[in-house]
Amino acid sequence: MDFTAILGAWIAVGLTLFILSFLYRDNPLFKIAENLYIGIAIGYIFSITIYNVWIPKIYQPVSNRVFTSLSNWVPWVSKFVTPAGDAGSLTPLFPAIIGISLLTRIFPKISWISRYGFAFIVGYGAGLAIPATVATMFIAQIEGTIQPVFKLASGGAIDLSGPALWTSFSAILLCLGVIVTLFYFFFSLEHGKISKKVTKIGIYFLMVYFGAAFGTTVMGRFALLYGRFFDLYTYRTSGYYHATPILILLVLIFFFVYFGKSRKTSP
Amino acid sequence: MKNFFDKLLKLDRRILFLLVVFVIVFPIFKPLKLPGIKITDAVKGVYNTIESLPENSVILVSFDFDPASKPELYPMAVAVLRHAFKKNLKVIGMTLWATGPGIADEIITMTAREYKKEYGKDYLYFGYQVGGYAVITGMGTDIYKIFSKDAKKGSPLETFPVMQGIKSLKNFAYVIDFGAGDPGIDTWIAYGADKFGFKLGAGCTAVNEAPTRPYLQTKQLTGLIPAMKGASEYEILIKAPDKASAGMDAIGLGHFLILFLVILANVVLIVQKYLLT
Repeated sequence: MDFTAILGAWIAVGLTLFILSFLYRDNPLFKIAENLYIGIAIGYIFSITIYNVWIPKIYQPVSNRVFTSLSNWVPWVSKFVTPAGDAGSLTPLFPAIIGISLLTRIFPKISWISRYGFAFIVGYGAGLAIPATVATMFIAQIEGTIQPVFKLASGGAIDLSGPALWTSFSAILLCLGVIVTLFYFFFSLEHGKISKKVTKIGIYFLMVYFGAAFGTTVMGRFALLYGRFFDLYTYRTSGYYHATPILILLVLIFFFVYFGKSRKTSP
Repeated sequence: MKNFFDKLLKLDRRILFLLVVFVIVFPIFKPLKLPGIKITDAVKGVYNTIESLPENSVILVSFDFDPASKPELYPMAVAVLRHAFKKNLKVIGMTLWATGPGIADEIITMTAREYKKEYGKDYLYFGYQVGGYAVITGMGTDIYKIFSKDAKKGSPLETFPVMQGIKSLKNFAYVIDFGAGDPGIDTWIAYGADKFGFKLGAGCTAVNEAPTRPYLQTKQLTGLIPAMKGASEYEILIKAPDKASAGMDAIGLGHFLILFLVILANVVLIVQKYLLT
């Protein structure tokens, strides 16, 4: 096994234990892992943005265009600089300037410039998002709610087989659920005796949804925890120089020393 | 008796943490192979679509997640890619998440190696592109304007044989998104599948399962692999049990523990309130 894989395993095990140590009590190891996580995440996204976006999408096309034009006007430039790739383009400057304009918010005197950037983003975003959202999350969902209640069998008669009746029941329940839940959020009129009962059924439907969402969230959290423990299990072997048991032991020693000391110093 | 119930209600939560650790770790050391994994229609939707594709069809897989969601989405992505490569489909990978390129590259490279697939001919990796919905909208009309070069070799896309006949999203036989948030499944449906009319399947985290399911009923998704349970179903379908199937023991035991604790806490409260006063 190569050195980077072993080093990666030790770092992964160490940081997992540091983060999990918070379950016992707040401690310096957790703080180290927490700060490292934030720092590394920002650094990683920054480098990805530089190398995947700024250099290939903006710097290269713009610099290529500039060098190509310069070579045409001043021929000796081509002796020193050879543009990589195609002739390039100055068009990426436009979105780049809009993006940079947002940073002017840092300086109050020229922060008004950022409004142009925001105006473009809001205009472009809204123009793209509104029709797509209405079509996908509104019209398509309404269409899905209004399903035929009964299935027709061959010959035009209503299909009364078990699965068909179950589908009919589901369609009616779905439609009813949507109506009563929407009714719960209808605040234009004061809810009377009957409408209060309808909204109560709406609440039950909402509770079923929240219950399902909470249940799946618990499942998700268990899956994440399993993932971490499975990695700890994997890295316990001699191939990784027993990263897991050694680091667990070191963390426990630190805990005994650190909390033992703080117990002695506390009044 | 009253003291016992009082102590039970004031139990140090760290003891509960230890119990959770135990039920998660125990099946890792000793797999229990708990029964009860039933293949659902949602998962079958993705499996059947891939199964129905003719050999050499090109599919696009978008890995829109980061290491935080790896335990849930990684196993299903591996299972789907194994299925695709086994069927001799050509796979193109990409990601809309800045923190996703490492995992996406790892999954596509590892599974391709397992089936001895050749880069550029049988699979390709576009890499990461910033912009979310703007990327999908752009790919709907012209992929080459969004991804001009691949992420591994930095060569122009048109030089790869796998890109023959691929101009926009509509040219893919199937698009699958493994999404953990935004941009993700919602984005692919709203700005991709609904707009340009291509077949879309998805894999989501457990947290996103409830909000994503309505898209199945409206047939905006051909299938959905929800979380580790969905991944384990897919592993069973392709007859290659792996990480997700192994993890279901832990998740099953974890659920039993939570149910037991919820019931116990309620029983203790009821007993204390109505019987011991």
